[in-house]
Amino acid sequence: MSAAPANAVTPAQSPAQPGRRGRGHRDWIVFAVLMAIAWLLPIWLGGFALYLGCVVAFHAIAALGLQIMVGLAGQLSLGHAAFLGIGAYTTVLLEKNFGLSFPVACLGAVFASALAGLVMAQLVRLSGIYFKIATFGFGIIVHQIISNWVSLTGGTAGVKGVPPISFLGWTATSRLDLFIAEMVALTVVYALLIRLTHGRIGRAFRAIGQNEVAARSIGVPTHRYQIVAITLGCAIAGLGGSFIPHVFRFVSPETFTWHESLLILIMITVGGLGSLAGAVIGAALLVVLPEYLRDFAQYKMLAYGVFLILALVFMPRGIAGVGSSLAERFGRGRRP
Amino acid sequence: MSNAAPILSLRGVTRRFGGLVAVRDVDLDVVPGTIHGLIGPNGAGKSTAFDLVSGVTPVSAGTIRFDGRDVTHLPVHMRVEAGICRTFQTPRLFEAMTVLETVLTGRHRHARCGFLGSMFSLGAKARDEAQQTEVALRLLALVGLDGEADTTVSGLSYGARRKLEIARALATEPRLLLLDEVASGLNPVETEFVAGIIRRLAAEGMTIVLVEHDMRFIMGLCERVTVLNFGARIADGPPVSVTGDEAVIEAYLGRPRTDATPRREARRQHG
Repeated sequence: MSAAPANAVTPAQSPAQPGRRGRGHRDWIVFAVLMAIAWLLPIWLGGFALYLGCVVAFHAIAALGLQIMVGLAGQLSLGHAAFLGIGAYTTVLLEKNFGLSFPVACLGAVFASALAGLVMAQLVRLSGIYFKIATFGFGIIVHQIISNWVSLTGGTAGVKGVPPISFLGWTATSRLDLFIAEMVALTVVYALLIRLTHGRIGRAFRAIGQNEVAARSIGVPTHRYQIVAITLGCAIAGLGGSFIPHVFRFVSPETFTWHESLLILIMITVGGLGSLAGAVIGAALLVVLPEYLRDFAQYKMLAYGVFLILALVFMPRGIAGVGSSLAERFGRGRRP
Repeated sequence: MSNAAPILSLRGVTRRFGGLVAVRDVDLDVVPGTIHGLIGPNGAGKSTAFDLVSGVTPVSAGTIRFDGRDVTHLPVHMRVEAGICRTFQTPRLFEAMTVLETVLTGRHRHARCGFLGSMFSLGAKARDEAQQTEVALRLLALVGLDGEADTTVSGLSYGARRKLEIARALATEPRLLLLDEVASGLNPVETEFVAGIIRRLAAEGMTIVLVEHDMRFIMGLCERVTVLNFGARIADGPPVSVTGDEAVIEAYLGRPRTDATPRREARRQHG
């Protein structure tokens, strides 16, 4: 069958082609627009906005990883903060205790959280709700280890005196340098994940997330791909986490409670499950909005909850879903 | 019986769910290149038999051989690699994908691009994607969905969903295609269209097993029919001989009235 001449399909191919190219291209246009805003706005505004930009950036990296794992492959994690924590602590301990430069320490952090993710991923054999509960337990275990292994992590007092990021003789002395380093990581991760989702592996992830039995029935080794998606999501969380000690110049277990796990989940849900752009937008929204509602700080978790419910009721596919249906309507209107 | 070695061969295949025996000691041989029907009244174990052959459900006893090789304990994706693929009684699709993406997902085992290749490769990935897209579009043309390539699956009609599931299964390049009630829910025009596809595939050498309720559909297509009732095989042979078989008529229409009389008397004695 595959030996049939290629020109046999050309008539069918031509009408379908433009829309399809549009879909792939649209992801890259959104990427360009989002990254332009993310790079320029905090630098232009400076000061506190630049600090917020730093906080958004590492959250966005972690949210992108969680989006692959939860939004695409459908493997819900209720303990993702654990992997941010493993990344943060591995980085700062490698830098302080072994004097390693940031890129090397960061690589170690990604490796450590990938390894922890791989261990957790073995639990996918627990079907249905049991895996989700196990991820919650995993988050609590890691938080307890960080809090109580005082000789290594300093316990609840945390780690102070974080050295600045240095790389081949260049040292990030200002907040702007740190922001640039984070944005380079975010841009690269975002671009690579767009490429991943557009190919065979990304389709396999989505197939598992949308109908596991059907995915298996056409030859996708579902367990292996679930493990890959989980490990990838955790490794990327580790990368995001490795910036945390540098942004806050301090790291303590309190950053990595289940509140943080929930926050990242809300980010990808409000942004739009399954959409990489949605993960970045959701991260920006849920970091920036609370800062401008400081007077209501004690109602922060309440506000998150209300925000999540409103988002799910009025835009079930998130902000990205609203955006793409607007784009489709606009695109259809233009066509003759 | 044809003298060609069977491509699929079941021996003593049994599946129990607790106390219920859904498939009981079934022997079945499917001749390569034929269209083989698997029929029987509701609850006869047809769909369970499909689940056992495709590997969705493990067998309780017996062996399944495909192309001379024992596949009884292979996981589903390995059976797909061996050349067995199936559709479901109710189509199971990826609702948020487009029609084209769905068929491309079926190309999973034939596409080359791996994990790192997806992210870092420049030319090889684009070439691979273009090649797979070409195959997928050809399959969509075969099932008459080439105009819907960019439609999202959740917006498809029931008939289109059936056809898409066939195209997705064909994308795995099966040698044995298992179609579970592929004509149910289709209008007569669509049914005839699907029958045409099945004939065409068989003519190209593919082996097809159909589970079906619609007797006319089965009789018009199949060269051989196996009848199940209460999980056991009660008849096997060409459609004409099977429809005349007394056990088959009984399974579908019940016993003649003379048999019912003593039972009624027995009930009366009890009361």
